[in-house]
Amino acid sequence: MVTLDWETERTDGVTLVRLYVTSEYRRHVRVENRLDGPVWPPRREGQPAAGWDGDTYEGVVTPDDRLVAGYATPAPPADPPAAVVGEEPADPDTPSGPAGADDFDPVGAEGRLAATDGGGGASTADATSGPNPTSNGTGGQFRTGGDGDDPETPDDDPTPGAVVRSLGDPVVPREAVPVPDTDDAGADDIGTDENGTDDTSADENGADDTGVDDTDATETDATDASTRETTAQPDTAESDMSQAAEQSDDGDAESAARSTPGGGPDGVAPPGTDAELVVPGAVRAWLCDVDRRLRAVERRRETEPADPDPTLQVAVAGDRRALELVADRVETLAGRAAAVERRAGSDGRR
Amino acid sequence: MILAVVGGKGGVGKSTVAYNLAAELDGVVVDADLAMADLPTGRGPDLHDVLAGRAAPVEAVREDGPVTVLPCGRSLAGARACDPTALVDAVEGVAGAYGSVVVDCPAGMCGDVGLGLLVADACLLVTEPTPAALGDAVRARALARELDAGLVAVALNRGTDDAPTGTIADRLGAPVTVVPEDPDVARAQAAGQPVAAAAPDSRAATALAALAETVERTTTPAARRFSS
Repeated sequence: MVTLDWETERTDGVTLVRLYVTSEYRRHVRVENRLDGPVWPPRREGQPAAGWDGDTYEGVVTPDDRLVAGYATPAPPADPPAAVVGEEPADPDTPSGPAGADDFDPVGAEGRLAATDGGGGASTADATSGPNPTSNGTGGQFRTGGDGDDPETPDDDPTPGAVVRSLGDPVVPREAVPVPDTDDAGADDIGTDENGTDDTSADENGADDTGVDDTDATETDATDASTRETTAQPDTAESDMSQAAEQSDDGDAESAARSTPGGGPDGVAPPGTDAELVVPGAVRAWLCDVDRRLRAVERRRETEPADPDPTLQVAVAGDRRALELVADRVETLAGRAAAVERRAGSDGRR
Repeated sequence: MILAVVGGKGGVGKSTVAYNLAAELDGVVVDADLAMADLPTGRGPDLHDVLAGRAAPVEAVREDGPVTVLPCGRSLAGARACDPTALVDAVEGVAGAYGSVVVDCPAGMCGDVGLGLLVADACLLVTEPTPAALGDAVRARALARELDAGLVAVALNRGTDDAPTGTIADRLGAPVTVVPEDPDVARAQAAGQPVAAAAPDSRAATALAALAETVERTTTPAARRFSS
């Protein structure tokens, strides 16, 4: 049996109606407004939301998933504000929720798309953009995981990590922080301004291009070659560094290791004091990416063990190489940092 | 209940509205503008410490002022050392202890705004009757929709009586409350007080009280009626 519950509320000459349809069986239902006025359905990008057609709202309700609809109307509230005007057994292939959600509902659409064809996510956003490009800008970008940098991973529910990745890490740029320990950090080594700038640009590029590392992993050798040359020419290091950072994270890490031996520690270690030891945004974002890719592979292995996604496999292999490279680097730096600390302990210097 | 106060454009009065709303709702206002905090602060741990894992969220809440505040540190070094994603757990922790939380989001559309909206049950848009502010409000509204923070009300700050509230309500999809330009707001701020305490009879105080009432009414579920 299909049950319709409702709430109505009158605000500033507008009645807001909330409808909740529950059912013991999987049913396709149609609900029609009974209030004496036009229906103002919710809109996405100017188009009525999924399920709405004039005065009626339709969708599939299941015992687990109630169907929820809300709309506004200038008509005064009355009981009941709406009625179920049609119900029939639902097609088992139709997902629960509002009818036609494929066209509008980015969550549902993306979930399905991501399972079959990751790259299609962006086109869905375009299709829903409608007549209002301004409001689409962020919306589409957010839901499809940003600039397509990580198309493999389905975005079920927005997580804090996904939000930061899509909208940008709000981390304060390193050069904006006028901390005395910047001098301190570089005091043992070369510690010039150039190094500071290099590291920061690499940092930022890393945050933006975290998705590139896997695909460009093969270019690492080329990057190495170019950065090796720059060792002899510190003046051009900056441009080459940013190039390297653009090309790949692996190259980035390695180039930092080879071309600027003194600047290396700044690039990986946080600049702050002991109390501020927090992983920098770019590294955090990258690790978050890797984690998501691994989870996607693991999830796929559970659901379709016979059919691994070759793109994901390649990406994960690239991740592994990059991680190992960084792990070595981290270990070396941690060793040096420990040595420096020991020395600081003995002679009072840092 | 967690309410995010967003606006897109800077300087439209988000922090002022958030602070006064928290006063009206008897809640905690969280200054989530990590790099450019505005709300009063004092000694003791702040949001930077919470997001860097050095303090518990509830520990950083200040109850000694006229409005309960979770202040944010002012140093850029502190902001840089934060893990912004920890904001979600921090705000939920405060909401668990205090009930109502108003999150004063920063301007712009960066991840910190998204995190404020992500943790919120609902959002309130603050805007001004200028093309730039309204354009940004539309974008902020789209972001709120993506993150499932239902828009409960729009505060049209520094609005006049002839402001096109109907058009704005239509475009943004929520009732618009005009908060008039009122010297009492500046005076209250200078005195470190919410407007309702410093100038209870002012027009701004009346408008902010109406705004709080809209928020309360919309975020508290009405008594459900049943039928079959």
